[in-house]
Amino acid sequence: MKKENIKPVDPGNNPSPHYSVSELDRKARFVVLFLIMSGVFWLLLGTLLALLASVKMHLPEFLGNAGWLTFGRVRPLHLNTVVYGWSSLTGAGVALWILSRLLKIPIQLRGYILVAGVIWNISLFVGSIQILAGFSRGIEWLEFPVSTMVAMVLCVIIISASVMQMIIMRNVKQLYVSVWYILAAFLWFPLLGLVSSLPVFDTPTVQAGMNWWYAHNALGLWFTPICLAAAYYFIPKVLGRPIYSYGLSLLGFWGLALFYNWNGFHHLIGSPLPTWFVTISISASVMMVIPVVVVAVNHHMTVVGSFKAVKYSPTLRFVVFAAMSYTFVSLQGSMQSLRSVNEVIHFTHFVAAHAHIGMYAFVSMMLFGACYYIIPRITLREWHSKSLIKWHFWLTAIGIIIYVGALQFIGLFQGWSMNNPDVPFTDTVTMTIPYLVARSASGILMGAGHLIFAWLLIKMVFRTSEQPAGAQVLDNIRKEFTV
Amino acid sequence: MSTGALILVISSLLIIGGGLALFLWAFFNGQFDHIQKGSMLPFDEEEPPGRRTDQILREIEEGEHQTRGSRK
Repeated sequence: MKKENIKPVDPGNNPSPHYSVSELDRKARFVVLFLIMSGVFWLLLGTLLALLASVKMHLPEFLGNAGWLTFGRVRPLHLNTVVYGWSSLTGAGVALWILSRLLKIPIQLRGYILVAGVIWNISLFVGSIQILAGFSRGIEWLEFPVSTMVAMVLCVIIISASVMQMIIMRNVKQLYVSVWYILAAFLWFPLLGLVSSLPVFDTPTVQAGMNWWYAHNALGLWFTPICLAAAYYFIPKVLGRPIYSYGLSLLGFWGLALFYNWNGFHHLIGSPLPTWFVTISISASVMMVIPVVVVAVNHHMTVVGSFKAVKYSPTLRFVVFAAMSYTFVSLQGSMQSLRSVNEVIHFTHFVAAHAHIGMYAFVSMMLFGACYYIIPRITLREWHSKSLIKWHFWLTAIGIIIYVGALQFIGLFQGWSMNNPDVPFTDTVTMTIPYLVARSASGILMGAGHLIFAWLLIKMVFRTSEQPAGAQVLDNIRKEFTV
Repeated sequence: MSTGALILVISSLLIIGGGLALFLWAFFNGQFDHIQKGSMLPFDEEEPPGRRTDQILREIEEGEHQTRGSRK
């Protein structure tokens, strides 16, 4: 640490030294880059698997002779790599960087986080081979074997310990709303992961209940808090303008904390689950309208009048798109939980598109935006090509709009046809084929965007004209362990 | 109720309880005492409010305008 960067603070209140922004970023550099770059590796793999699965939906014979590349293995692996690889690893990196900036303290336990990150990646690799070999748990969002899941949860617990230590040692008194969201995410996810790994969900009904309790909460209590924390940090930061109403932001946080966790059971409308379980879930889902509208109003009122800034900032382009998608997917989710709507859209492509608004248009776009802000600051380098950033945005934005538009449009007709006894079931399948082709086309657009993002990242980190990042790797590891 | 269902209910209550515990801690810890000041927390002397950041795409657009202007 450079001596000139340390400024004295009131020692009676807090003995921690004051760190400059550049010092915080320098200390965050290696850990955050490692988490983000490994996340991007899993994004590329997950995208390839998504394209394979998508093509197989309209060309079932494509690579049909290889058992390990059948739809039943490729599709779950796509989901698990983007959820636990790309979104979780990158989300953890983004969350740690935001915490470091907001609490004005370096990321704690950096050496342990690196070890956890390596174990996390090895677990993902082993779990991926197991799924391709046919050893899946067969539970959506939980296809990785329990051993892989437990290993990943233990890694998150190590990062949670770092989060707690940063909050305890913080150099500010008041906690910003983003800190609340991140703290909650790192407390909730270990609970979700450990409970879902318990060997007590032995009957199909209870297992289905656990499945949707976990899957819905993984989105709502793990990814959503991290991404909303990012939105509440980056929107004011880029605009140079505080959030419209801090009180509303806290209302939104506690609304999520109180209403969200019972939502998942609305996936089981019409199942043998007790009716009261499902009815409470529907009520909780509708109650979610309150925190969602609160967040939407707050973000809109902060951005309104500054749309030029959105156009000129790569971060805000992605973050505002993601924030709008959050409002859309959440309100749509509340509607979908109603029994009358659910009986049409259940078992249709509408639901797959809905999930992609959540995990892609909201979560992934938010993480892209966060990376565009964070990486130049921790590497002290500028993005290689501004035109390619624009290409990345438009390819992914148009890609996901085509994906959602095509599948939700045909999903509605598919649902109405499935409820019509005069329509043969095969017709409800064949009518979707042109839209499944559109999905593959949209996947190619999004995949091209991901390749551009990976290329920009590699060019920035491993640029040979300046200090080569690769040569510093061993030196950085040594420094992290001497903390 | 089976053990699995009971664990799900208890875990759900634990999440809500955790949220309430955080709220109570925040309340008694003075986190809500100066609620309007909270919105200024992302800013400090080094990065004060009123200054836009990350406007890197402005240069490319202005560059394009200049090029168009010179062509005219």
